[in-house]
Amino acid sequence: MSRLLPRSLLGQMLLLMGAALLVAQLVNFGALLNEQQKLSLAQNEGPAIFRFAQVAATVAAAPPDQRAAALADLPAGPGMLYRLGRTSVVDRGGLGRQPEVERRLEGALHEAGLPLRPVRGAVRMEQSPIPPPPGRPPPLIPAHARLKVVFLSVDLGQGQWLNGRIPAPHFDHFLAHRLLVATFALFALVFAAVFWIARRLAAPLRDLAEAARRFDGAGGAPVQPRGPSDVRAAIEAFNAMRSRTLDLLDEKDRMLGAIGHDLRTPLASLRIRAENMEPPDERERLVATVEEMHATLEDILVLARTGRSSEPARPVDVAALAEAVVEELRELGRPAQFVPADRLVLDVRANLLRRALRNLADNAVLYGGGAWVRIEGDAREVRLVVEDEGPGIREDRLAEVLEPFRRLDESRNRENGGAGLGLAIARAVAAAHGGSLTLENRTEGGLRAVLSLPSRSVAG
Amino acid sequence: MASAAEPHILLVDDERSIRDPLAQYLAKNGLRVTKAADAAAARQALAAYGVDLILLDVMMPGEDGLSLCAHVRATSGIPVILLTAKAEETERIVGLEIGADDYVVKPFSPRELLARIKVVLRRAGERPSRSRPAGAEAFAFGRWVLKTGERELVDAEGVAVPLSTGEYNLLLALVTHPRRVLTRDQLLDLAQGRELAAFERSIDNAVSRLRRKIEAEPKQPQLVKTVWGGGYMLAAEVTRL
Repeated sequence: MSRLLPRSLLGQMLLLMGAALLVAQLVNFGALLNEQQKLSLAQNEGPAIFRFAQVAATVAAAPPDQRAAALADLPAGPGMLYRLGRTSVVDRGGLGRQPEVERRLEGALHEAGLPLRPVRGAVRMEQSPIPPPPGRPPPLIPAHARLKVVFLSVDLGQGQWLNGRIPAPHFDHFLAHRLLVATFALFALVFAAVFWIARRLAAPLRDLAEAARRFDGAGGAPVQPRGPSDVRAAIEAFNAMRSRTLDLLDEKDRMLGAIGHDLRTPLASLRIRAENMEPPDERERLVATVEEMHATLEDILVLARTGRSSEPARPVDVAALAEAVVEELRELGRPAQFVPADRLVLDVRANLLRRALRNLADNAVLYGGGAWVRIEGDAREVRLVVEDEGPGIREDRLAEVLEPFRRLDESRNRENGGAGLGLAIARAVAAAHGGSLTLENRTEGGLRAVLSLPSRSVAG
Repeated sequence: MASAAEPHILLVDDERSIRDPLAQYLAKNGLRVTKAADAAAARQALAAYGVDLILLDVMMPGEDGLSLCAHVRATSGIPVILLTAKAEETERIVGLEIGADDYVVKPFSPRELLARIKVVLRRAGERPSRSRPAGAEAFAFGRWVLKTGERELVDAEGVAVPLSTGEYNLLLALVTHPRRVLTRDQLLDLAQGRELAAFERSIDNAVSRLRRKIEAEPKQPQLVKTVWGGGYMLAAEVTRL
């Protein structure tokens, strides 16, 4: 059920205001109707009741056997009928008695000199007009109008009831129309107002949400503060947070740059001095250590900066990129193979992507005895697939190896090279392009790494 | 000019921990080295001696290496190799565009630096009158542009087509010798920028990969043509941009 309710600010406000307005209008309508009934009793039924009381007083004054004659002598108004009977027409016709009408009738009879008589009163709406008596001008009430007819009875004593049927003017439908129109006007006005204010609220909030979603740590414009002051305050707070975040990220970049520079210089110095060292095998070991420290430093810097790379995204033939990575391995004499593929252009950061794929292929060569690389693309995504024929990775550790500094050879011996950042970098690069990196064991043995990029890849 | 047997190198680096051992290493390997700790000292040394090559650190307090490199390029034909602590692509390209002949990223192998110094010196010796060295250049041929600064191949729509080191060197050899038949041996010679022992086995493979990337119809190549009995030839007009 709650799924049907609107979730947006605008929808909820409209629904709430609509419901509240409806209830208020119903209460209002009820009160008005009650009031109108009283007013109508005085204005419309009042004269009919007074008239009937006059007739009743005249007829009651005559002896019972001459009452019929007395009644016949009285002039009748248009549409009015008076009859004498043994019972009340209200009881006979099963009409709903109306205490208010009866109370007024009693009052009118009392004034006409007929107190404390049993009375009946009822009001009925009639569709069929009563034709005007011949020779009379047409009644003021149009013939097609619905008529309100008042039925009145009074016990005259001696087993005689005087029954009257008197049409009363009726304007209730007009009132109902007016009320309906007023209600609609009110709804329209309030809805327009709510719509306006809700949009005034919702539009800047939407901007804010959009800006927060798009925020990639690389700048862009702050959100323009607008809307009511509370929303404005929220936007300004967001902008302040945004610039603090940017400052922090800039600070991080500066720090990484400084670390990189400060470590590269002594490493460079070590590297040069090592060249002069004797004996040669000791020198080679020192050179290897320095180069590994350098590789790790570079990996850390790349990983830390992936989200804010200064390299812009641009159209690149990703198939050629994958082939170039494989060819470079082959040029170094490593076992690697690429399945030739057609040109496939994506907006990517070529250097980052190259590094990511290189890491995957290096791992395949190192742990799986060779890298078999292919590229697959469909309308949704492009997949760079790197397979090997090694032992694979235990299923329960597949996720773990994507974490930085996580290596599967527990001894952490460095002979296989790397600090365990290769896969973490590949994953970060995939994420920076809106894609993903997944590892799985092939059924035929070996590991399969799939770097997927969205087909309209835009590095964010 | 210093004697051909002992080329004179001006080493400019504010880091003593690099300057001193590097000068020692280069001197041990048959180069005459003058050291300078900053751009001002380097300018004095340039005015005082005939220098064959400048090794220039990019990040220095005061005037930086790029500015000094621009000055050297504007006033002389002395080749420059940049020493940079930044592996950032843009830094490298800026350096090459300013007119540096080559660059090495710290920490570098001194042996590799020595090899590069020799290559740059040889190139400068081959073309003594050329003041504009092969730093960052762009060659347009067919619907392609090969940029040596970025080391990348870009087509008319601006799509970059990555090349392996071997493919890049091969293509560079072809575009720098347009409409000339190059034998496999010549290509190997020209393309072998560095230790590409394994590349030797497959000039033909590299050519066919290149064709698949750059030819509209790889089976009927219009750009890289096979010359029977000879070798390969770039059959297109090449414009230096």
